Amino acid sequence: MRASQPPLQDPEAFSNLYTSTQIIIFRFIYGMHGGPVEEVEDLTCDTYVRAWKGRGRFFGDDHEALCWLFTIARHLVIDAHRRRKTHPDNTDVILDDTNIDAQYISVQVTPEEQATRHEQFKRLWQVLQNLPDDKREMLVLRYMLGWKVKQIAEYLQKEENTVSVYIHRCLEQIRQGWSAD
Amino acid sequence: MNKSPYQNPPEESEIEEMLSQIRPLPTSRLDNRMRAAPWLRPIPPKGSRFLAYLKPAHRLVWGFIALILMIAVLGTAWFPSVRAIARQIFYSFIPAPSNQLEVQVTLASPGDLFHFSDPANFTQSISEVQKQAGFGVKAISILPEGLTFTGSRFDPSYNAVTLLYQGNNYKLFLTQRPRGNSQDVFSIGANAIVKLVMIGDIQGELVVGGWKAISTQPAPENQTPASLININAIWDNDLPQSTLRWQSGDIVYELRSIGMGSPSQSELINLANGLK
Repeated sequence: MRASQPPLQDPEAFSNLYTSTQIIIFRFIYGMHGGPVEEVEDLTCDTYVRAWKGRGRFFGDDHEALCWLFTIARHLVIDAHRRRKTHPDNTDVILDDTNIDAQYISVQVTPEEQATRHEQFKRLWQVLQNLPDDKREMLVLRYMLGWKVKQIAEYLQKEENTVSVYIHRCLEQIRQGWSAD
Repeated sequence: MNKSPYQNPPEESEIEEMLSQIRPLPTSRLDNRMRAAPWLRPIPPKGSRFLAYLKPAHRLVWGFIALILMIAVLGTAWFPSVRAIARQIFYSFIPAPSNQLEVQVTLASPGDLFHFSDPANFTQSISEVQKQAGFGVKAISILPEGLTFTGSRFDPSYNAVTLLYQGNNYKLFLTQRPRGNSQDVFSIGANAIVKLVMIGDIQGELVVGGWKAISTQPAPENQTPASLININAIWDNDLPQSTLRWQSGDIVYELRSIGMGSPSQSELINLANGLK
């Protein structure tokens, strides 16, 4: 049974949603979009602004709110990709150096090893961005957001086994695309 | 020598590990942008939310309309002249500033206050005045006992037709004219009481009383029929006179009874209802 008032109607409730989900949504959009970070931040903003405008139509709990934000973000990313196709100058996907460095700041590696791994990450990122949207979304949820297979299965309304197999195939596709131009 | 990142793809477990290590974080730019987020703006009180959603140009238009309305209301409330215009639009009677009035009439004009009720001025038939007026003239369809039709007259100044009836100790004037001339409004004393009445499904106004002459300027020695004289009149609520006004279509109707034997208000309304 639906509540009489949409749960996010109140600005404070919406502000709490933003605070608790902004990093998740940012990473989701980053993984789906590919960067640069300014565009991802803009899309993150747009996601919440669109959600704010449509909050009167949303009825659900916190988890459903997150899924709702994913849906909005996915649509915005698809729109952004369409725009990118019409502007070929923007076809490069960039994993910001700042983010890569942040991953290894505590890892004791030599500068040479660090440079190699940097290049590997760039390659991984390029191959990931060449995957179809649905496959990329699954990998983003599984690894960048750390969701369990069961959570992804519930979110995508698929069997856990199906999701596991699908993820395995996605990883294999990345391996195959690694050496390709 | 290090491996090229584009050769010898990593193992699946390595890819998983690398993907898990990608934990991008937003910069302070996102926080700065979100400081102006709509949910952080103060919500205007319910009454003014309508204005908050309007574009500035629309706000200006609405503000201008509100200003005009305010001026109209205040003008109607405070200034008698504006109130008179407003009444002229909506009502038939305009209260004069006081119960006393000075009017100027000609000595022998059949249309002036003195001579208007003289039966000698109502010599035409209804069909004759109808031709002159150019609109369908209505008359009392069923005359009550004792009431007789005297005649009609046409006043070209106002394109008005007046029918005179005479009863037992009273006269009845039925005037009809197209709406839209100065005679649409009839001046009444400040203390006159206007009653709203229904004539069928049309709202009309009824006033009891009338102007009573209290002094007349002497006629000039070299008088002609067109000579003007001044009359001072006072409004008397007890004067045996009732005036009923209403509008139907584009025609303004006035039924006035004068005399001690005048019909009651309800009888007057019944007569108005029976016009055909």
